[in-house]
Order: sequence, then C-alpha cells, then structure tokens
Amino acid sequence: MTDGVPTWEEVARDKGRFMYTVAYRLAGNDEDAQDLVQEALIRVKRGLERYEPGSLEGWLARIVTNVFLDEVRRRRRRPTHALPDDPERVLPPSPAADEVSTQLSDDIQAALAALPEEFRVPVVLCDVADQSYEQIAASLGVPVGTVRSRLHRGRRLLRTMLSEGAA
Amino acid sequence: MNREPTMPEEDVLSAYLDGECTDAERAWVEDELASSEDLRGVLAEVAAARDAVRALPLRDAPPEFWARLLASDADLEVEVEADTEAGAGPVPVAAATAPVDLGERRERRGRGRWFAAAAGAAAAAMIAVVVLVPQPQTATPPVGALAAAHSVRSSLQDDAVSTLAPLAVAAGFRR
Repeated sequence: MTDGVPTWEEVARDKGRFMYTVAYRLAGNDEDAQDLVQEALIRVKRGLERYEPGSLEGWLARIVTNVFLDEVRRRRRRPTHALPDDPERVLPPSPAADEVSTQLSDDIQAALAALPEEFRVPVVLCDVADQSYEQIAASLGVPVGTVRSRLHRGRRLLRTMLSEGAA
Repeated sequence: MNREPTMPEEDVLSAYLDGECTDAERAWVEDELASSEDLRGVLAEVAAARDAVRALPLRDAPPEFWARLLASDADLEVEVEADTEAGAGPVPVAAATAPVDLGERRERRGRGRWFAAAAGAAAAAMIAVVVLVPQPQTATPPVGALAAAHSVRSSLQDDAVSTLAPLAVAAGFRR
C-alpha cells in the first residue's frame, strides 16, 4: 500500500469477502455474486490509480452496486434471463454455502432477494455494507430523502415477508 | 400565527434507528413513542427487519473462486486493457457507470478457456509430430532442374528480375 492507496491484490485479499457479501446479498445467488465481484474487481483495477484514500469499503460497495444495477438493467432489456429477484433463484442449495448459515438466515436472504431492487439496494447498502444515507444517496444518484423513504419501505416489506413466511 | 409542526413521515422511524434524523425529528419520535402504541409497534417491526439483515453472516465465495481470480490476474489485465481500448477509460470512484454485460463477459471467459485448451492441444500435436514422426535430414533442392527451367523462361521475357521470384519459392529447401 502506498500513500493509503491499496494495491489491487490487497483489495482482493483484504476486502474480497466484504465485496462478495454485498454482491451476494444483492444478487441472491453465488453464480451471479461471483460474476459481480469479478467485474467489480476489474473496475477497481481501472479506478485504483485515481482512488483518493477515504472510505475504501464505501467505494467498493458503490462499485459492486453499480455493477449489479447495470446487470439488472441489462437483464430487463433481455427479459429471457431470470431477474435476480426471481424467488426461484434465491435458494439454490450451494455447496459453498457458509456453514454458519442457518435456516433463519436463508429465510432472511430469500426475503431480501424477493424485494424489488429499488428497496433491496438501499437496505443492503445500509444494513450489510454499513453505509450512511449520504453515501447511499451519492452511490445511487438520488436525494437523501429518497434513500430514507426506500430504506424504510424496504424494511417494512421485508418484515411483512418474513412474517408471512413464518406463518 | 401559530402553525402545527408538520408531522414527519413514517420513514423517520428508520432514520431514527440509524441515527440519521435531525434533533427535532428525534424529539418528535421520542414524544410520540411515549404515547402511541401503534408507533411503537411500527418501530419494533422496522427494527426487527433491520436487525435481521444486520445479523446475516458474512458470505464468502468458494476458495477456488479466489484462487482462480488471483491466478488470472494477467487475464484481468487483458480485460482491463480491452475495456480501456474499447473506450471505457480509467474509472475512479464514480466508476461503475459503463453498462456491462456479465453474460457476455462470462461467455468471453468461456471462449478464452476454449481457446487456451485448443491452443494447448494444437501445441501438443505439433510437438508430437516433430518428435515422433521420422523426418529426412538431408536437403535435396532440385536446383539444377529449376535453374534450367528458369533460364528457359527468363530467356523469353525482358524482365529477368521478376522471374527470379518463382524460382526462389520453388527452390526452397525441402526436408
């Protein structure tokens, strides 16, 4: 690391798991998460020269989110592909699943993935990537008030889905 | 003129939980919570959803994913260069504005692997041919016959130099 700017290898090694977690919570499955992370790391490599030391995780979360949103837009243009929030794609029994995962976290992940992405993205950025409303607003290019509203609605929807799932 | 303070939107409850509301909003929420069971119910629901997502464990890719990714650093370099040549340019924080096609990239990675496999097979075949097939070690160019033919042809043309080309090709050493 020079002048607080990490190398690409350091980003991949030290922040890879953070990036993967954000990608997985956004995409809802391992295959898409791996593609998101790989594409995000390519963008990281391109952007590192101009990276100004600050919130590295905020920067990385923003890149992963933008890759995800690009992909969502692309799939909308080509509707033959399943969208990430297709519930059937949410619960693949993955051999790479974290051993710590429980049925409860699977249920939460399923509910999260079933949220429309306009609500899912702020929820993931706030509650998984630990970003401030201001950072989320900057990432998404929307006012802070919009972030606040979408985040709240997303949480309420999530709660409703979890309650219905438990019933 | 006295005006009733505007009641904040319900989303102030999420902002309250996240420490993202103003002092005035916080005071309003706390006042209301003291008297409104409904609001306490909504706050509890939002807090439960928030806590549930925050409690999700970190997730990691299979170890082979990282091994492959770090090992293929050179491949990523090529992709970065390809993207840059395609006009994407260096992307700093704002990054991520250029639309990407992950399916296409996945396909490109697949093609890359196929090409690598095909190239490897071709190289192996060439080595096998060179090593295993007996090759004559003597060079026997039919120089005499070709020179005779050339001399016949060149005698019929004005441009002697241009007629040297077919001779040069045909007189290449055969192994």
